[in-house]
Amino acid sequence: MSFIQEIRSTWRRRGVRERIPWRKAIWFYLFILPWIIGFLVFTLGPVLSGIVMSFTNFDGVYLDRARFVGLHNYVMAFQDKDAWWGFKRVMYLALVGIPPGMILSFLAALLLTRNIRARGLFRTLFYIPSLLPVVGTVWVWKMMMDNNYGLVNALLDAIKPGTYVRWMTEYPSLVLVLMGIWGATGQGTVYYMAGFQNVPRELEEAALIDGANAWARFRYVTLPLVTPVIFYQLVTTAMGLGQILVQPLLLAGGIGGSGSGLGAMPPRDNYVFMVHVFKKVFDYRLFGYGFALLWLLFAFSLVVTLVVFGSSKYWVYYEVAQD
Amino acid sequence: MSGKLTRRDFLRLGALTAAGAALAGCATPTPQVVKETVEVPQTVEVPVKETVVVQPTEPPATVPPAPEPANLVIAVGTGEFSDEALETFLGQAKLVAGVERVEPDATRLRAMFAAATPPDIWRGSGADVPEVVRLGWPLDLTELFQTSQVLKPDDMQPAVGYFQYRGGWYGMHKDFSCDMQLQINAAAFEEAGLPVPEPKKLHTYQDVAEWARALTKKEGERTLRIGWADNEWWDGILQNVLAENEEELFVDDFSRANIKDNQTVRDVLTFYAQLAKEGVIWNPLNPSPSWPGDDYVAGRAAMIRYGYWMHGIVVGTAPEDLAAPIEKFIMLPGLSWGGKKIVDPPMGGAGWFIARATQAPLAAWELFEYYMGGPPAEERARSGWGLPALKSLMPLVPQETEFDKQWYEAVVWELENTVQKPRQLNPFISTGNINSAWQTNFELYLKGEITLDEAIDNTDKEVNTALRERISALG
Repeated sequence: MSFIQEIRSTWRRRGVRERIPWRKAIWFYLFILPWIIGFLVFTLGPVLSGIVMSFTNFDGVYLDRARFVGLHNYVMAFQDKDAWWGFKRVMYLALVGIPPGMILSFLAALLLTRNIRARGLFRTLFYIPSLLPVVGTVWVWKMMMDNNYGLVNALLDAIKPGTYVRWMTEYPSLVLVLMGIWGATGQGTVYYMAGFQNVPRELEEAALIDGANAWARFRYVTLPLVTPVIFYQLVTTAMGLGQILVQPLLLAGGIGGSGSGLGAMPPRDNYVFMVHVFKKVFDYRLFGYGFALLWLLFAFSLVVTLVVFGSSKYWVYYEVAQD
Repeated sequence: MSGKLTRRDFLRLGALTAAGAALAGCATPTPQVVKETVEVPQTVEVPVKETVVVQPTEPPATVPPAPEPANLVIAVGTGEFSDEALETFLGQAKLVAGVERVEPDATRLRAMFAAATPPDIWRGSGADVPEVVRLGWPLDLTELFQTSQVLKPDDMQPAVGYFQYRGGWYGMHKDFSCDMQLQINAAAFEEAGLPVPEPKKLHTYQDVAEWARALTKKEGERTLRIGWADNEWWDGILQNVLAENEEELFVDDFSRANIKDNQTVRDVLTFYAQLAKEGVIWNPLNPSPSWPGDDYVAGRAAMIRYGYWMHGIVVGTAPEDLAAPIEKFIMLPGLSWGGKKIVDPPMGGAGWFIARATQAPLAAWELFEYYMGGPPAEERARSGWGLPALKSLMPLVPQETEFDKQWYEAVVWELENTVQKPRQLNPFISTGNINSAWQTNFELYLKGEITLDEAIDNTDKEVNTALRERISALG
């Protein structure tokens, strides 16, 4: 425990409140005021108005024509079989996509923190997909995975003539997951690398002196110390996955007027929750209902996050004791 | 804020128009567009509503002062109205001092209207008219059209009827297209040993199905060339077919869609389901790798069904990227289900509206007239990306090359021989509703998870549920 922490701990025990002089405090509040205003106007305001809207029949344009409909939108959401379907697909994508994505990032980071040749090049290559715009990424994946003209099927056909896999229509979720992993691995790798580099060298050396082999040093020293990064990755990836929208829409087959761009109808397997919200809001123009669906998604995300946070005391190691 | 055009405003405009006409008479003669009288066939119905026209027969006792030039805000992108064209307009405008441009983004537009600060002019679709009128956004331009020296009602293509709704006239297409005209790759027909279809003749859906079967090229399970990459605007396809027998997809008050109980609708959807099973059209289990227009120029599709704007796409594609010499890309008429007539109005078409809340209706109209009937309209007609909404500009449509001529003659034939009556647009749900509902159930049917009857019944149920929800939400 550092000196300052000791002092603060003593103050807390004695019931002494830290007092910051008013003159210093005013400067603090003045400096953060722009952020506070931005937060109130552009974050908290819309969030609160979103709650109100979810209890109305708001049409997306005129507030004065919106009518209070009570819990109707929420009741409708629980009876909406497409919303449930979309929710289940998100769960499926989370189960199939998050573990391999996190493991891959972890392993890549492990590799890239070692002294390997061309490490800088590999780090760059791993990170590049994270920098690409989603439209370009989807387009590349469509070209690779297309049933008839795709690169992957062409390669498979070259290896074993006659091989034909309907990637985009029979395994669209697999394509979505692979694309997601490909795009997110670089970002995850950077976080894990930061975590690995933060592991105190003296701890590893101490373990080495104590006779720990490489696996034991990794298992009992390195891994516990990067669990906060794993925890962070798990929470943010799960939240991001719940909000996935553009990728399934753009991946949808370009079938004419009903099937291109954001107006597309994805294959049923990729009809995730946010796609359903998008369709309800912009095709059906049920803005109030759309808000209700989003609040339900938020509530679910909150529960998941709280569960993950609750479990963290069993598996996440913090150097500083959690008060 | 009053959105009404007052009698005084109207008289001012009349005086200004007269003054403008007089000044124009003094100017150096400019090359005139050759105006051809296009015979409107019996089948074409122009749903121009009866409107009481206020004719300024007597000049006011005193000449009213000209209104101060106004600043306008327009939600129109530079791709459709360049900064250069705007500058040219401002150089000669009498009522417009300046124009601020905002991107024509749907969300932004909604926000601007919600905040009661709408743009004076915005770019929208003819398919939007019922909704925007319900929302009270556009200004009724009937009187302005009736007295305009530039945009004359009898010079309008029937398609402009999309902007005429419940007795009002709310805007005009910047250009349009008969969106269900068929385009074929004649080289693919020759390769398949099929005679190239006659461009000025009625062809049926059944003809196209036969061609599609012969034109589809496969290698094992891989589709090398699809016979027919149709546009899959399901609502429009159904409406056009129904209109052949004067039937409608929606009941009169738009509260219900007739899908499962209409045998014609069932037959059309069954027809497409059969073609999908045979693998001769793109479908949810074998979709286009891109979009049908791209497939067409690249030779991945032998036939597609889009409008005249495909002309621009074919011409704009580098010759080495075209699957065949450009003359092999041929425009045919739209299709007939019953074999007696063709119904082929645009599916909507882009145009301009003037906001009812504008503070400067006359200034907005001055720009509107310039864009729709002045040099920008002539330039658009020459571009080959769409058909002019004014009949008098039709001669400007490209006719230089053999390819241009064939496509021009095909569209002229289409306009003269097919029903152009705008389709019924539901003010409660978007066209995407039916498309989404059918596309989902079509996929489930093709996967064998439901029967075709169930797919059609589910589509009916989902569309009608959406209608009920929407109507209920609106109160």
